[in-house]
Amino acid sequence: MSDALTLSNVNKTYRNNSRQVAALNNINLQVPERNFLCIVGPSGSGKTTLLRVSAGYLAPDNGDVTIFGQDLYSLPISERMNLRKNVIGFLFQGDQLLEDLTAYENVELPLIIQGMSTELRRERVHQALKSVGIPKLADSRPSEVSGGEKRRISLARSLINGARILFADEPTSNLDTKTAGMIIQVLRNLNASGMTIIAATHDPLTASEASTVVKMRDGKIES
Amino acid sequence: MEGTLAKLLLLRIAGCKRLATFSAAFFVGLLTANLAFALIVEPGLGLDLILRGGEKEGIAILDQASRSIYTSRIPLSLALSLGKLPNVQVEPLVTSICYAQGSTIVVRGIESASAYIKWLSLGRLPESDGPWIILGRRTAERIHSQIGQLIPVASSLARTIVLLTVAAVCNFGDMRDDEALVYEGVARQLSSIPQGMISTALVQGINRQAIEKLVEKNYKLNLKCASDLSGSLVVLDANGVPLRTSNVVDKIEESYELPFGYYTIVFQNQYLYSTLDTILLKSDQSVEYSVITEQHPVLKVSASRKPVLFRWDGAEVQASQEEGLWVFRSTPGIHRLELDPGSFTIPLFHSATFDPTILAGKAYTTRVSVSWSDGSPASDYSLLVRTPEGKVVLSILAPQDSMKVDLPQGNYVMEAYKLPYSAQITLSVPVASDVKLILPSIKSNVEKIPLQYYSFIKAMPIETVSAFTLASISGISAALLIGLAFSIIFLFVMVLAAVQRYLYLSAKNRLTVLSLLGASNQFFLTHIELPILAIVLTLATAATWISLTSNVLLFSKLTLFGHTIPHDPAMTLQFSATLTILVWLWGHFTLPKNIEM
Repeated sequence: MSDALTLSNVNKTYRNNSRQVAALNNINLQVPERNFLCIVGPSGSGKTTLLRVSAGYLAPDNGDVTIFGQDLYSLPISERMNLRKNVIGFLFQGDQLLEDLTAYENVELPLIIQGMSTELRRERVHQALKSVGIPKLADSRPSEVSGGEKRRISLARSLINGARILFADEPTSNLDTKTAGMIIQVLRNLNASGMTIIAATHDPLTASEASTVVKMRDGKIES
Repeated sequence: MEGTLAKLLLLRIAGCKRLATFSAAFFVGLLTANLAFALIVEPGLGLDLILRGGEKEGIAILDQASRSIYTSRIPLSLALSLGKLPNVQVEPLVTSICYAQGSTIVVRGIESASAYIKWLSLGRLPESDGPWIILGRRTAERIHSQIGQLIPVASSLARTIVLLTVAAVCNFGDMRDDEALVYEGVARQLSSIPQGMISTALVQGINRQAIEKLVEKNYKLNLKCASDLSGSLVVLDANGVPLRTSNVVDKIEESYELPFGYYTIVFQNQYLYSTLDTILLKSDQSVEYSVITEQHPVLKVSASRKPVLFRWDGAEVQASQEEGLWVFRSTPGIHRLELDPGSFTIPLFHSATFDPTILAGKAYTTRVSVSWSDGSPASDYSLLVRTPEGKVVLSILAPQDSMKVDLPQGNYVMEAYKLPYSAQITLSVPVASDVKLILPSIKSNVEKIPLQYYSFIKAMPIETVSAFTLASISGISAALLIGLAFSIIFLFVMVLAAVQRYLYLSAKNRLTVLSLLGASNQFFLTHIELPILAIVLTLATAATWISLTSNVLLFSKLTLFGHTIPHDPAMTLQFSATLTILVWLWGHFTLPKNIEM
């Protein structure tokens, strides 16, 4: 089985005034396809940075990031953007939903950005909402649904582009145990259907469901 | 709801309330900017055009102490002399700011109205001089006058009121629509500008430095003249006014210091008025006239019956007829001319014209005295005697206040010049044996400028005339006005940019989400920024329309130096569009900073 994600000697340092913080320190990581990888570690250990660097949102200072055999940061920006639009899904911490839009419209946004036709969008959005178990919430606004349902809307939006790899940043944060369990179940189902999932979490329950767990501290992978 | 998001993305992302608030604030800002532009920049530009008399190119010549072309006074002879330079065109202008029907109007003097036929829109153009006035289209509207109406035109400069009949209304399509045309003599009366002087001259075909170099000093004119006959050698300026005279007995050698000018050298005595030469004096010159050496002087005589001309030796000179005159070609010397009124001795040493209608009969002595209006005697003035048709009979530079002149019977116009003042009187000889000419003293000197400065002139490119006038009147430099205009434009760019920034900042989180979901710069341009541009351009059009409408109402009631403020809708529209696009571009280049990745 080939690797979905490979990180080789990746470093990332944040500069805050005169202070420098090494968010990623010589990270080497290989994630095979169809793997469910959980990155655990305390706050500030570099989990979110690792996800953002891996998903193409944040360029590393040095090192190589390869997704499905393509060196992400050696690609021209337009091709990297295309890879992000078509192959990578990202579940943001805090959902990042637009409150004035319905669930349908929130999920539809990435497809509008892609320039897809209205008919095709309609089919894909309904399918995505169904895949996360909330087909009846299409016309509901984020303020009208529960936290778990919001997370599912956000998840549906992450998957709408037909992603082969999903980066999930704290997928169960601020959810009760039952709702968190439901989200984990959705992630497991997605993984079972062939999607590679890389999640950053504090939640031991999420970590316990993963096939691989990686621990991070101070920008380094401990195990 | 499905399917509407893509079409109304800006509205859904920014939100109706924010977009409405943004639009209202942007519209108010634009409207204020347009009104400020209209109230400061447009009148400023209008003032600039007005103060330069509507002229866009060339050189204006003003007297050194004047503040504007409307209050300047320069010698007409200078303008006429400049016109004698090769490829130089000169337009002498007599102009004044007056009051009519409660409005300020600018009057310009013209010699003849016939050239204005192509602009005639109402009434009839007057065929002769007289107390008429031709109104520009906007002037007619402003003073609510009709053709044939008698209107009083008052001049504070001349402290006089003239009643003028509205003869015609002309549609010029330029600054002259705000002015009025009157006969030159009337313009002089209204502007208190005497004969021989004009307000200004607009010159083309020569640069300022060249003019200033020409007038910066006087030039020597050395005259040598030999003659067997007694008479006077007279130097006339370009306006025909005698400046210098010397008695010629046998021969003379004179050296005059004269300013740049076009001069005519004339020999004259009681029976002869002969032009010897014309000189464009722009460097020291020496000329020599040997009047007795002309090989074949020509005498032209105006007479109905054929006259007979005898040489000094008694031989008769044959006559031919050319263009209604009897023409004699002879050799230099004293001749005797026999014609109907009698016999005349003619010193024919240079080609000359003899008009027996003037000299017919006996000459009568007329005593002429010239004084100032305060009674003090005048001296060193020029005395000119013309027939009513304008033919010069006599021109003398008189050193004293009184003198005797011999004139045949007839009617004459006698003029005394002591520039810039002049006086004239119509007399009938021999009825009038004593003639008194009174030169006017200063009627008013509103500028409070010492009169000795009037003899100095300055030349300036027409585009700097307005700046000069503005600085002279109010101490405001043109640079200050330009700076003010740019400050206003910059201020409103900042205000509108702040309004636009409010929109982007208030939608910052939403725009960031779009960016996280993969929206490229191109996507933001087509789905967010171009719709904003469409909105702001629509707002700009509405703001321009409102400001234009209000400007028309406002500016039709305001005048600057007798002119309504020129109003250019295209300029306002251009300003509004430029402002809007500048602000939008600002937003376009700062948008990425408003999106947090």
